[in-house]
Amino acid sequence: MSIVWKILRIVGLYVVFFFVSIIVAAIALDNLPDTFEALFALFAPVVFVWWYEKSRAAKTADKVDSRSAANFLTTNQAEYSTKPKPYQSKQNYAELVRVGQQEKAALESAAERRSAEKLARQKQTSRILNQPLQAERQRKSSPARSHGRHQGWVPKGQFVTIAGRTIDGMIYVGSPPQIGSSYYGESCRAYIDPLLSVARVGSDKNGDNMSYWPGYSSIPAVCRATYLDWLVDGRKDGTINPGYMFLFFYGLERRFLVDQPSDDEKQEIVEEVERLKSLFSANYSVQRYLGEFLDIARIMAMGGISLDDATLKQAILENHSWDLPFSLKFALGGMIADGKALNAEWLHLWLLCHPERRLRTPAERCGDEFKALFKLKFDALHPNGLKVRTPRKLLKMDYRAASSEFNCSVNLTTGDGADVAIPDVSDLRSPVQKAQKIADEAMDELDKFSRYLGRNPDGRGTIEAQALLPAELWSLFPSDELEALKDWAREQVAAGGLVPALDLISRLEGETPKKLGKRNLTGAADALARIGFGMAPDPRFSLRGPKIGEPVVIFELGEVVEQLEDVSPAYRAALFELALATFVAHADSKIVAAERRALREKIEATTGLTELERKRLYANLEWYLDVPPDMSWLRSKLKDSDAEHHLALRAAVVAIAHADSVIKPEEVTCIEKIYKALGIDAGLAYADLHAGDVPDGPVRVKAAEAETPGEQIPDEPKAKAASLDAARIAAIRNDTERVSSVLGEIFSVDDDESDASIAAPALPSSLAGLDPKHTSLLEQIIQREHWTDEEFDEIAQKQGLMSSGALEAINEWAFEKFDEALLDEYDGYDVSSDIADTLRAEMTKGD
Amino acid sequence: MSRLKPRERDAIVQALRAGVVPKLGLRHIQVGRAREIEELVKDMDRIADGGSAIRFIIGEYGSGKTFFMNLIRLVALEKGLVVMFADLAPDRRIHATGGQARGLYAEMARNLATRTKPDGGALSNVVERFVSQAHHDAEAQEQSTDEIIRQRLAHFEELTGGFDFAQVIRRYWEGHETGDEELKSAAIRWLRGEFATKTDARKALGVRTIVNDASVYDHLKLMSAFVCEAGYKGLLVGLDEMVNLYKLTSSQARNANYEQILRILNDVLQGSAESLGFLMGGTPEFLMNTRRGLYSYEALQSRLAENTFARDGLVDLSGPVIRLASLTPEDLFVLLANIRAVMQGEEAILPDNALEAFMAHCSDRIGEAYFRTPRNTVTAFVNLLAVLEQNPGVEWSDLIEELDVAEDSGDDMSDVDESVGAVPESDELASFRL
Repeated sequence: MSIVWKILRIVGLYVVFFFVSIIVAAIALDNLPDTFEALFALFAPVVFVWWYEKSRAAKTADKVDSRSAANFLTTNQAEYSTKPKPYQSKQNYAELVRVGQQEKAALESAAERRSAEKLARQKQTSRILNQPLQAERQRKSSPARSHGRHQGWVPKGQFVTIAGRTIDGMIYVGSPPQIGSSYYGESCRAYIDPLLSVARVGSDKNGDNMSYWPGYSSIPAVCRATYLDWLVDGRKDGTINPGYMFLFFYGLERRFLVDQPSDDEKQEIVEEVERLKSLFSANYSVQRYLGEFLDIARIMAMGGISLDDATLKQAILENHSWDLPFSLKFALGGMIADGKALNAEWLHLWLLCHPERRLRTPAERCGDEFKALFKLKFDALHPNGLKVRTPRKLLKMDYRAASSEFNCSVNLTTGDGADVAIPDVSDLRSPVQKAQKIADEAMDELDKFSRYLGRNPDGRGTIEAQALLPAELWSLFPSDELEALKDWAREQVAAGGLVPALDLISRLEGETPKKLGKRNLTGAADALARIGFGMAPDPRFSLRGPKIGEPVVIFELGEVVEQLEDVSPAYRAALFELALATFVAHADSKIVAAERRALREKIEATTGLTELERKRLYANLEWYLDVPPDMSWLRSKLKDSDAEHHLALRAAVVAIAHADSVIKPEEVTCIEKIYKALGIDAGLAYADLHAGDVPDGPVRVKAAEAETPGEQIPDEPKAKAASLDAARIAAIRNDTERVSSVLGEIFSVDDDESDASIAAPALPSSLAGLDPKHTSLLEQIIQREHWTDEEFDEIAQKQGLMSSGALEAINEWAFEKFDEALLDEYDGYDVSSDIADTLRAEMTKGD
Repeated sequence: MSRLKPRERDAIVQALRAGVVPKLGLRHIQVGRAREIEELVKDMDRIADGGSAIRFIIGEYGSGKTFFMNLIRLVALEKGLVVMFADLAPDRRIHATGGQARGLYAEMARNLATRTKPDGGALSNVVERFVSQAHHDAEAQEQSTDEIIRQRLAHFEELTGGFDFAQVIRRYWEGHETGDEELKSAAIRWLRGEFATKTDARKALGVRTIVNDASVYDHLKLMSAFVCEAGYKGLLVGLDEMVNLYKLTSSQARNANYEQILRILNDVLQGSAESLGFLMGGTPEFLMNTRRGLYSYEALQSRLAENTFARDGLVDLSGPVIRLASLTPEDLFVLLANIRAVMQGEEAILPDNALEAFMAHCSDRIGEAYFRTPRNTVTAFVNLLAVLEQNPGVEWSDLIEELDVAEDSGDDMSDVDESVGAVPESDELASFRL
């Protein structure tokens, strides 16, 4: 419409001026040649029309806008909603470059002046925000133009009344300036145009009629009323649709970055945004946009950041963007530029905010503990802080307005002279990797604690939780309960160490579990280990854990143990042997002192154990003695044991069976079962048991149980032959001498001569032991050296004797007298010449 | 040490070469075990004094059980006891139903030995000695010998089977007096348990009972009483290879045997047996196996349990179980040295390093079995000495390398069926053809 109107106007004006020109030419330029007159008449009107149009365009710009605002807005809005965002921003950029150039000089000089002031003020902080600010502002027309009562920013404390509502500043009021090109432009969102209609009641708190990117001019009257009500209310309602808040925020943002107000006002705005941010803490996009704004605004408001500022760190942590928060980058970059080393806290922040971090549950669930542990580990690794190389890329501040109405970017410097550019740390990897490594360790150590907290969210501070905490954190997170537990444990150890398992668990966990799971027990063992006490059995190695009603053994470890699960293979083997041995010891249903001692000696004799493992074995022994092992749970383990271990196991069980020097049938039954489970011939059990006991005197160099059956592996034959033990041979010879003397007494045959001389005086009565028949037979017998069977029978018959009976009688008599038989039955009967001679001598004497 | 008789020397050499335990002269080669021997010597004294004793000699195969028992046997003979030794076998058990127990008794009776007849077969000597004494007394008291025998054996009638026993002794005298050798031999056969049926016994001797499977122990008691009457100090019964009971597959048969052992044990320990001793040799399995060994029989188990005060290195050898440890190389060395002394006498002694070289050689061949089960080692050594003795020019070092030593494979532990050794029911089924 306007174009047609313009053409008509131009054509009309041209015709009018044409005739005027002709008249002027005819009157004034008559003296000139005709050609000149014609040219003047044709072109002078053109010049006039051009001048007129130009001056008119400048004059009507505002007028047209205000007059046709309502119409314009509806069309604009429709246009906008279909318009893609990148396109818009491109437009902005084109605009920016053009418009920005003009104001650059002015802004720069203002910024420099400000920074100079600040430099004077805060020399100590050493970080100065120096702003060769390149704020690119887009304003179609000068904001200085006043329209109505107010046009532009209403600062805080200044009241303005719009549609009957009095608002306490911090808003833009007036007809909104056009943003964007003349064709797709739209009015600035934040401006509250007092000319626009406002509903009487602001009832749309939910913002049902609000667009995603609202502008005051583009929302319906009812929303405007809601918005204004909210403002009047002091912006305290956090339940309102955040769109209204954004509407307000667009203004703050614009004011802060585009208008560059005084420092006090900036501070005011920052505070207000912080308040809003916490008001809408549940809304993600509020957090994000406001967070990003605050990130930059804080720095700009204060002209720098203090590294010790707790709220800053808190703010960094609460950041929700994918990238590193700007203030963090600024702080880190500043430290690097100043050549400072990073401390644990900043590295921790860096890691937490880094997009490539890998944090597992422990880091979140127990953040404080994680942080503390991280710090401890970092300090141990880098006592002087972590030096980071300076990255080449410089830090640039880019800010894209939440209202999408403008962008800005700032180059930042630091140093006393504000001449050192701040590097950009976002591409640095190695410090983050280092931090990640530390964090991984810390998370691993916090695993148990974290899992516990997972089960018991309120468990922090309880004994179990405390005990699961890595020991170095105890001083940082003290617990009274833990101290009490230590005292209790010390008492129990002093009282012998046996504690009902249920008692212990309920003391540790604070409640009495229905049944004792492996997890309860492992937790308890770990917990106790952390305070320097051990618990036996440890379900990780033991055959089984205690049941409800059974005790556990508490003992002093002597040191704090972090990783109970790290034990030597020798420990595992010894523990199992111990279980087997105790099983055998329990067989006769009572444990005597000797067995107890043998078991303890066995632990003492096991090689390859650390002192700690030995202590644990002793405690396990106590437990096994109290809670007898059961075949069913031994069996499966026995089956798994390899052949080379068999010897040791056999030795263990046989030694204990012998410990009390009595092999009970029950013990044998046990050993038979064990051998069977081992897959060894049970027959071997008896051989082992038999050999295990060495009742022979000379062999008992040590106690009998030292002679273990399994260990007699044949050596190299040569070595064996050479290894004859001279001392032992001597001992055996000694023993043999003793036997010989015993036997010699029994079998002794008196030496003939001496015996004969002793026997001689007793001669007259020497034959008295025999009856007459035998005597006469004897007299006959000694006459000859040899008698055949028949001859002997014959002479016996003559005496009326039975030959065998006579032989027996005579020989018995001879044994009595001479300790030797007279008649030797050997192919007939030989007569002992010695006795015969003696007898003959006696008889002649007697005769 | 007592002097070595040439006869003993020959007996030792022969037995060792054959791989069996010599019956004579054992004291010359005994090595160590002083305490056990002292303990058993005390036992023998106790038996000679009218007491009783029972010992289980438990040792591994080759650890010298038999040697030990034989040594004790010699001691017993020397103390004036009568000994009855026998090895158990599948067909010889303490209790059975198929004649195996009687077989054991018959074997023992055959092996009955006295000091004057230490090799066995002395039953008739004992009987004759008794009868002679009775006859002598009869002459002195002018009574009939028969009457004297009746008087002296009167108290036998209180014992199970005692009446018939006395009857048989009288029959022996009868046979002697009438010159009826048949009768005498029948009496001896009865005493030896060689009568299989009562009918035969009644025909031959006129007695109504015989020694049967059920009465073996009763007859041992009668025998001990009888030898005392005959003027001996007592009776020692030795049963070796008890593991044959363990090998029985039938638990009923096994338990019946263990019941007999329990009966013996009770009698001995309660003192109701007089002048009677038992030695039983077996392997550790026989004792300790809880399914088939002595420990499987509850009542025996508790009685055989060792002295509970003998702990902590204290030793009590007075319990019924004597455990023999296997030999060590050092033991073997001393044993070889003793054998050397027995065989070579004082002169021409083989040097000690020859013994060691010999042992090294054996160890090369059969490993540690050479001292654990020394039977073959000893045999080889005796052979070596014999060769050296008969070929004076030969050096021992030349011979040792060529010696062959076989490994001793140990007992046959195969199971034994209950019916093994039982008398066949009828000859008709002994062979058949399809």
